Amino acid sequence: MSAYLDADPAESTTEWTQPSLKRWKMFRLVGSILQLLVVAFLFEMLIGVSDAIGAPLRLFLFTVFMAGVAVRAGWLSMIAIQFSLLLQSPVRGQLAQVATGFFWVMVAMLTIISAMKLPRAHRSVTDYILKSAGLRKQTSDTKQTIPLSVVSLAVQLLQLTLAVVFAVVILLNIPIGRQSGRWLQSSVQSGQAFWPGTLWLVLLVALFVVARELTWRKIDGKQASVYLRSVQLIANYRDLYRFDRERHKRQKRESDAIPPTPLPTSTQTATKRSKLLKRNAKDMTDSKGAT
Amino acid sequence: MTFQAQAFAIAGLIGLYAGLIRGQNVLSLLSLASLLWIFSEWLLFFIQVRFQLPRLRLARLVNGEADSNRSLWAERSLDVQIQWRESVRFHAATLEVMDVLPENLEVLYSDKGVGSNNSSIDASSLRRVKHLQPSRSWLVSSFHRFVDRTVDEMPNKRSLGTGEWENGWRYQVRVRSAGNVVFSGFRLTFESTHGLFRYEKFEKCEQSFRALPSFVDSGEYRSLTKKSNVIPRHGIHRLLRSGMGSELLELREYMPGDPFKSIAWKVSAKRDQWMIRQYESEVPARVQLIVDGSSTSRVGGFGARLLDQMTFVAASVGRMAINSGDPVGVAVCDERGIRRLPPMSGEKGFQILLRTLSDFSVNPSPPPCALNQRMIDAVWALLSQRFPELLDFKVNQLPFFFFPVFPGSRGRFRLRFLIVGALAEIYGLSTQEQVALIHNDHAFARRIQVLLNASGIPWIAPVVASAESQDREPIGRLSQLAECISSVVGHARDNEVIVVMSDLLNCVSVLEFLLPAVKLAVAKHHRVSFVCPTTTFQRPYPSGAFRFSGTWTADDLLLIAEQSRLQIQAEQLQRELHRCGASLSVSGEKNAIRLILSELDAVKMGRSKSQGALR
Repeated sequence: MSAYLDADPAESTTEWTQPSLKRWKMFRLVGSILQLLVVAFLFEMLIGVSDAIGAPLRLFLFTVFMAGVAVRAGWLSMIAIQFSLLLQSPVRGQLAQVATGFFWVMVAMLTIISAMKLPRAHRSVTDYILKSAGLRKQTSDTKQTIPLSVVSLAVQLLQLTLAVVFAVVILLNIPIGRQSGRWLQSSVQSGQAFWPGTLWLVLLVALFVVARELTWRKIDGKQASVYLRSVQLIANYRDLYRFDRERHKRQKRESDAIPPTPLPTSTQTATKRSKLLKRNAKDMTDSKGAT
Repeated sequence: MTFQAQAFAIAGLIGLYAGLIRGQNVLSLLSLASLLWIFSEWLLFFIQVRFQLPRLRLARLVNGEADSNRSLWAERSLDVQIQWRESVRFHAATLEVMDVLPENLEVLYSDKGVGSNNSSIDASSLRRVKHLQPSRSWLVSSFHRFVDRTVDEMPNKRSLGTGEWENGWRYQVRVRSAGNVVFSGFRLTFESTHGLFRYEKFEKCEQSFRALPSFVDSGEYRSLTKKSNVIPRHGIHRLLRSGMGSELLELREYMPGDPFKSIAWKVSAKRDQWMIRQYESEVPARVQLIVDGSSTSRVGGFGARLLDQMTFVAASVGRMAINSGDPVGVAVCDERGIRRLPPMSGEKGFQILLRTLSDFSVNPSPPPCALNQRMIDAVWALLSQRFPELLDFKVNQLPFFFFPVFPGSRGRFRLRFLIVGALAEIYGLSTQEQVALIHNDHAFARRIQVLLNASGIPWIAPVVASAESQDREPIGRLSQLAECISSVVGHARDNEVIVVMSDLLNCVSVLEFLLPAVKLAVAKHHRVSFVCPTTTFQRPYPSGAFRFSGTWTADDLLLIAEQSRLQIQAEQLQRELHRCGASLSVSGEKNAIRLILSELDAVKMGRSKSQGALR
């Protein structure tokens, strides 16, 4: 047993050399500030297309955007960009803007995503640089050496590009703005569907059904059991609740029917107790007769 | 779908609508692109959850061994190693693995891990995580968290970023007290790359150990009066130590309480001081340990319970007595009844003693307690950690109800529905029982208590009402203890040492229920010693020992107040027990051990009063 208790203590997975610790902290601090500046510059570039927004509003939007970065809430940053677009982009613009706006949207989406991932990406990048420079050692336990793998980066970039490309295709194909009148004319003449969105609608519904089915098939046996229970409970809840309430009432009635008999505090109260018991018994018989 | 994803989707939909209505094409494009990006994120996430995550296999090695059903020691550190049996690299998601630890374990953090080239961690250099963080202002600590998020990471938790993988990691824990140590499994939090979707799962990997109580086996705790401590060799049956035998062992100075018949008159006359003849012992002195594990001694966190002090004293005394060849018996009593083991000697006997104390340290089902919000919060936290899949709204659906109407009450009621749904699945309840749990506070509280207790949560405030409420009926407890003492006395031979370990400080007013049993034991020529553990883990200071110091804090003052209260109770208790001929030690684990050893010596030497009868 002693051999078992005296097992080898753990090894730390990461080791630091004493002089490198300060440098590492400084490096990380400077890196953070630099990355924040880059993101801020990108945002300014995005909303600074025209001077449609006044300085106070621009400052407000910048604050909202940076707040999103600080709390890692990408949606907040996106709202800031959307709001700036709402204020400055031309109303009833040309459809050609959709195609030309491709790169702008790509940059905007990349900015939002990088703002969301800033702390984690920053940690990975600085760790990678420190390890490469030999300031931080890695033991054999941890095999990871690439901060953001090339595959992951490629997947993310492809995912974003595809999303934007599909968005462009969809917007170019659905009848919005001036296109809608022209499309209505042609569709009435050809006697086809009243709205071309039917195809899109069917696709959307199909996609929704598939997604829901896939999500549903992910559940395990325990979850299925909980689901069945909850369905049964929902179906019979009112009846079961009524039964339960009735049962409680009956139990309460039964417990009330037997009056509590106080215990005698001394030998002198024994006679009092017997009188009390007799009186209780009489009350019970009276109440039964009355009912 | 996390809040982030929901907010993204709502912002995207509103933006798309506004863009289409106002004909702002770039806005529409950005919004639609964001919606499609969320969908692609979900698709990738789903594929990984469905096909990659099930391939992940984790294993735990405790002190280098994968098997369970072994013994550990309380108050010692353990080396836990987590290994990936099959490593999977997630290219579009992050994975957080947390080894769910029982309450009986305390995570240790290495100081030497940072700023040291020494790869091995010495157990003595380990300290608690909470003391590691220096005090910082909120602003500084927020910025620090933003810059370096690893600060808050616990050693039993590991995060794998996108594309990362590793073989495993190690950390150290300390066993707080004797009892059971059950590693239940791993909590996996799988998140999409940008945190839009999350999947939580509890992977079972159960390992169960018995934690034996710690003990001391050092010369520091030997009684001063015990001179010889030689274990008889094999084949030699005569015990070469002081006792009441016929063979002379040595001469020593007289001490109060020594029998007059042992005075060596001639030697005393020569040396001009009283000398005593010490004889060899022929019969080993028996020690009977009685441990009272009633509710009051089990309240509190593991390692801070009164019972933990008692098991430590019992194990230490058992070790020392068995080392010197004295058989040790044990009797334990609590709400479950009385269990008695006859006196045993040798290593095997000591192991049985430790196992008995260890099993006794496991908390039984707690006494019923009224439902309160803390209890609900505790069970919600537990279920979220160990059964996250049962709390999913998709599967644990709620019926529509009108009442309660107010949002706060309605939210609490919905929460209760969810908890009851999970409890019904865990305990296999019928739908009728499920409805009864929803509407019956008492049954709901009882079921929660059972779950918390079975999950190894100590008897803290949510599990039991309070220590005071458990102490309302001390008469029954003392009656049972008296019965236990009587049982031990009934099975004992003459002149044994009976050590009663019980929390008696709050029972001075009803001590008459216990005293007859003590008087019976004393009348049968046994020595009876009481050990009363205290919540402060210290002996009460003598009256007037406090001198004002300018550096006293509120905690110090509270401790002094508690010590004063204990002092008064201890004095009363000591007075009552001394009248019956029993000695008392109020906590001070070392002093309790010394007292019992002195009593043991007194029995061997036939003295009427033990030396070092400390209180």
